Amino acid sequence: MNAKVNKLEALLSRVQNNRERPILMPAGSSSAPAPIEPTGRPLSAAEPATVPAPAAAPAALLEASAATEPAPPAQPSPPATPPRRVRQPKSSSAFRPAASAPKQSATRPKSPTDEAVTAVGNLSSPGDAIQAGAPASAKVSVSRVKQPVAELDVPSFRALLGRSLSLKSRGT
Amino acid sequence: MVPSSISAAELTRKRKTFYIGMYMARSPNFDPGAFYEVDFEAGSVRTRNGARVLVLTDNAGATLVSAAVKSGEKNAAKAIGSSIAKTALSTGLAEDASPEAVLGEARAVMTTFGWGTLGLERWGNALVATLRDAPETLSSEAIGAIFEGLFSELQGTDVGVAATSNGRFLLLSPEVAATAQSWASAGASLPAIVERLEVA
Repeated sequence: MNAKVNKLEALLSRVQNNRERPILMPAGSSSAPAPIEPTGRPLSAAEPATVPAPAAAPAALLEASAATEPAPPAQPSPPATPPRRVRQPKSSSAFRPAASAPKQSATRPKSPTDEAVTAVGNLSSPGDAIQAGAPASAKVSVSRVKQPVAELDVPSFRALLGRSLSLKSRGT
Repeated sequence: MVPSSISAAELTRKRKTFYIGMYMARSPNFDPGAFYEVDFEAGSVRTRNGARVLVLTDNAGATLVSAAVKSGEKNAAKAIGSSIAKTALSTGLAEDASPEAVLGEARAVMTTFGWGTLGLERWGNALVATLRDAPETLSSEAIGAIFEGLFSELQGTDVGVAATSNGRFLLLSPEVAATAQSWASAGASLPAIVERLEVA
């Protein structure tokens, strides 16, 4: 029994001695270094300067990007050339057409009246350009737009540009 | 047959059958959402097509491109246009796509790269391109070179560009474009240049 008490006292004494031992501090430091503690926040793009880049893609970063797009599976070492991702258009884009808007290949019939109305709305720039080269005003010209749509010659883009490319100087 | 691709009317001027039409962009298929992917580990930015891009301020990027073109090096500017066209074509444009459809896709991509708002106009038989809200330091010559790359890629053949005094760019064959450019430099207006041209 006495032996056990002595052993306990010796152990207690050793613990007390350890408490009094000074903490190892860096040279020139007057206080203990601040402990490095996790902030509890995921790594963000605003903090790359203070957080050393890990060898692998940080999971927190992937989680942060998951809010806007599906994150690719985390890999310890990325391939030399990143894989190409073919993404389907998203409906949230500002460029996306309305749900009822026709695709580019869809037939879009228009009445002559519609065409004339459209022309009035679109004539600001070309109208100014006409005035620069000729006295005819844009509004006078607009009245001539009221012709059947079927008579207008609007080819495909390639045909239109092809015709422009086929132009040459008069008399050559 | 009623054309399916008319969104802007055309107007007639004088006896020379002088048509002008301005093509309005149609709803594009191009989706700018998640177009750029930032790789923090590699320190790189790529488009979703895999092309690595550099993000520069306009006064740096546009100035560099303009300086290169001014010194006779047009390849970088043409590559910019070509890259825009390839991305636009990757949206699935049909061979017989309308001018509005092509403009819609090309404009969306060009805007996503920050070069300004692309426009198309029709002056007689000539097709004319415009670029609104371009970077201030981007020279007219640089815009022309970008357009050369853009429309050459879209058309699949060499396209020349003649810059006119009113900020419009005639899209012609390279030889005719050089001639038209000399006229423009001598002070000829766009309508005057168009009237000197005829379909071969």
